[in-house]
Amino acid sequence: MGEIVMTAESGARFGLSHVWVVLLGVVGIILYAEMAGRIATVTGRPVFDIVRERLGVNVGLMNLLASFLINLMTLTAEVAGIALAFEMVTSINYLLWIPVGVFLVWLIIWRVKFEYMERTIGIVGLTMLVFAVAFWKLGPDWGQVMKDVFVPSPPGGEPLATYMFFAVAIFGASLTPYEVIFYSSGAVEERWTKKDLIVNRTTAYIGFAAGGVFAASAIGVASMVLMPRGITVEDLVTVALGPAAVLGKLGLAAFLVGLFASTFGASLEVALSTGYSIGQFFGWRWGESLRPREDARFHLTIMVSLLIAALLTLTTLDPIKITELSVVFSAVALPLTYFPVLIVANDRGYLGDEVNGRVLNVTGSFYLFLIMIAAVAAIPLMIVTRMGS
Amino acid sequence: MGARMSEATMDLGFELLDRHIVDKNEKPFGKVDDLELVIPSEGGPPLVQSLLTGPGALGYRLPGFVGRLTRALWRRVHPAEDPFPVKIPWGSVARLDYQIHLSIAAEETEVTAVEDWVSERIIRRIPGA
Repeated sequence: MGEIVMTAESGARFGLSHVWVVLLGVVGIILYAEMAGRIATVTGRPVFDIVRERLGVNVGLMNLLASFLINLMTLTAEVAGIALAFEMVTSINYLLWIPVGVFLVWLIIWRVKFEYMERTIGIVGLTMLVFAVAFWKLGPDWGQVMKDVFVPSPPGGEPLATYMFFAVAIFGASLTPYEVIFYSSGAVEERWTKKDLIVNRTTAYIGFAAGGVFAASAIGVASMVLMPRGITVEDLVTVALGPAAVLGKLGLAAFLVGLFASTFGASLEVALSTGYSIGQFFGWRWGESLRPREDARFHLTIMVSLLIAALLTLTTLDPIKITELSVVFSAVALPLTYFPVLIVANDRGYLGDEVNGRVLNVTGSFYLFLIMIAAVAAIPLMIVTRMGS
Repeated sequence: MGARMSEATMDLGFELLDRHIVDKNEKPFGKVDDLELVIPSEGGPPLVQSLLTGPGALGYRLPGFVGRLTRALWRRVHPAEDPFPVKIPWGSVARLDYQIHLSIAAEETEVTAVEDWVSERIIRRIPGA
């Protein structure tokens, strides 16, 4: 939801001038997901075990609380996204779909095995690549595209602060904390062993790169369909205009399926991440591979989170605004998750010979630096630009 | 009682506290939420007598309101009248690496009290649990 909304908004207002942020974000998420996945594979310790061990109980608890609140916001936005997808198909108000959507998410977590769940989400989510097809069909001038991506020139008339605000928001949307929490916990759920380290690398590279292709082409489509007509993005229907205008009914259908799959998939991942993070912090039994009665606290946490998210959505707060807030606060909280991962990825006590190499450390530290700048800048930019308006 | 870490030295705050504990079946047991130290009567440095785990122990390490709330909830849920945090005698520690391996099973101890409470009162009442 974060990427769908932010990329469309940015493309409609700033053309291709934010695509570099998407590229930066994709490399960042790949680096850190791979590290967290490697730690989880070798030691069986996902992210929030490490947070507690490295930051101690007090700082760790604040970290847990911050991540939990951000996960709740993200979950609220994703659940609203599911309901909006239903609304676009049925013309029945999205608020009525929220209980249905939340119930389905819960039911899948309650009953379906992790592997099936993850694979299905991944495959159906690929329909979002309809944006790449649409962008290709629009036949952009590729020389100009390259220039706009690598020598970004924000259009005149927009203040620099607003441009930077969107840059931070898109960065936050592509590196959300839940992705690393979910990815590393998934490695433990699927019982990866050292033999699976190759799988870890490939999954991280291909999965997140596909997400990047989607995000970049979504900016591209918005810049060619919405921007010339002066349309700004205020709801998901506007986002659908791009694929619909270029590819007709089929494009619209693919968008709707992709929207449903990606918001539903993200809801599953975020909801599970609330249980993962809290369970790992306190040393509970956790995971989808156990029966709910065996890890009751884990399932209770997820149920409570889903309930809160549903109630927040039902307050009729604008889902687009909730989404924007969730990505900004994601940007603020990024160092909390990423810093401990980088530290432990260098600890031979945990990883033995599988510690980071030098190149990875230099890039990882560079990213930590970027992440900290984004984190510090996010709130001031949000206030100065009034959420980019 | 107790054990002296004879040859290797270790920073208890860093290498023991907040580490993950697994039971003899490699299942999650909890975290090292606190330590019980004794000062030997014959003198010398304090020895680790036992590891403490669970909200009962953690509640005392958390500051102010959060700590009091944790302890109060734990008392409410715990079946015993005046509960004591779960104690793992040092003798039950089989091995230490980046986590603590025990020679006992979680089911042999009271560590599952809160999990069982949530499981019985809430989760098992939902179909399919």
